[in-house]
Amino acid sequence: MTPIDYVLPLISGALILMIFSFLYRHNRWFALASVIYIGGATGQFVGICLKNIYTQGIIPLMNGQYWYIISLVLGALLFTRFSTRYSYLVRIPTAILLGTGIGLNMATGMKAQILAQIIDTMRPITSINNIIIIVGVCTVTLFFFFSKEATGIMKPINKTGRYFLMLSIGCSFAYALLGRTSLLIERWKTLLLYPTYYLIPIAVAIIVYDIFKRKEAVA
Amino acid sequence: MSLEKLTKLDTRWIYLLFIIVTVAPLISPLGLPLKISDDTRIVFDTIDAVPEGGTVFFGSDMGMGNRGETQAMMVAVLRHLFTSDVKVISVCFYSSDSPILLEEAVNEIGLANYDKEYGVDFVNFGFYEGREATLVAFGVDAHAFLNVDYYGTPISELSIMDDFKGAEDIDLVISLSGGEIFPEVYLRQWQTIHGTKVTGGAVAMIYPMLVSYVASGQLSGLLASSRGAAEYELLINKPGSAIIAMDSQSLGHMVTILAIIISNLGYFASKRSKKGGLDI
Repeated sequence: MTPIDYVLPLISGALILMIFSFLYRHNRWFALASVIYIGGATGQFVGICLKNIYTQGIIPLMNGQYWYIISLVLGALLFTRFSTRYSYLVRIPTAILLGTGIGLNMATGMKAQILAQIIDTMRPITSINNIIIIVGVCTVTLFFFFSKEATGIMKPINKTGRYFLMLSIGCSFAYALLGRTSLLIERWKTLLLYPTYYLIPIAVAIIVYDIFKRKEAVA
Repeated sequence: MSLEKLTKLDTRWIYLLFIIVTVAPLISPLGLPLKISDDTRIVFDTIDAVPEGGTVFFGSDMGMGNRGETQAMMVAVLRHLFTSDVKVISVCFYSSDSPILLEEAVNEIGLANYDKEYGVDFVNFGFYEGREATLVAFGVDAHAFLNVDYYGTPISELSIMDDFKGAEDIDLVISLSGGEIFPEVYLRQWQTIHGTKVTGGAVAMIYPMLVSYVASGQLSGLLASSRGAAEYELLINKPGSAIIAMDSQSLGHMVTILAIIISNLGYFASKRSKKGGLDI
């Protein structure tokens, strides 16, 4: 292992622990790690953007694909929003972006995301799953039908729709928990590697010291 | 002890408990059983069904922020692809971080271990800006806008691209999605127009939003976060980092359920005592 193989995991581990220290209480190490993260992520993003402009704009232009000048000029026009005099020019690339975006989405989106889903909802009532899907779709759709007050027959429909929505939200929350726990475990795996794990007792000692120091200050 | 006191419990004790139960199984695995879900099996069968010499488009659109959820998934799926006689073309349309993660995954697997050659069996084109418009353009004629791969090699020097024109030549799209609902875009622009088969995986946050596409048959299965990755590792018989994490995952979920039950007991106890009820 070269010295860099030792240093990089230690830096990574130290930053993870500095971020995790927020669980104990807000502190300067957490703030420092947050700032480093924001700076690093922004720097990386800017670097990738510059590389893209070079490989996807400049290189084709140099290879004789002169129509790429249109993309580069339109891209440059997006920066005119920083000028008070020429800021109106930003409308040109924005209009093109919006127009193509909406145009591309509308026709195919209607088929893939709306019609295909409606067709799939029209199922035969032959199984419990199909019944649940049909009742869920109908009651939740009617829950968002605002032209009739939720009285009479609409009251139980509304209530059923609400329960389906709650179940859906609960399901999303459970998946969010699965995802967040996965991310946490990934960090643990990084911290438990050599030589990063040497940082854990140091972090624990600092927290214990801080607890005693704060207790003394209160006393 | 009064259950009402539970509502005033310092949350840092819960954090500590959560840390202990998620770290301990990583040091000493429990080997809890793991059942393979139907969705994961469908993904496996769909990839297995790609004809010999076929072309798979690997849409890796994941970010550094969700690496913990998606990297194991990417490694497992790529391992499966490299054991088959298929060509793998990858372009990242949505995440600028993804080519780095893809490179890391391929280095971990090692193309040479599967007798695969870069530029012949696999290519990483990196991140191409333009989102949905670029994806549509790629579908029509990839050569019209792809210039160089991630390492700056001109497309003319990549033999994998010789007979490849666009989405019509793709046998399967594998869309691994990190933050937004990317498989939807492939359904919209490639499946609707070119009839391309789409499968993939997603981080847990967006998995529920994509399940309806699996039910309708538009998506051929879907891997759910690290759980899906662990199941896939089992299916390809290559246990990896996702399976190791599953014990921690299960215990972490147990602690969360316990915390929900205890906090609710505390809530109802405090409500009862306000009404003059009994202290339990």
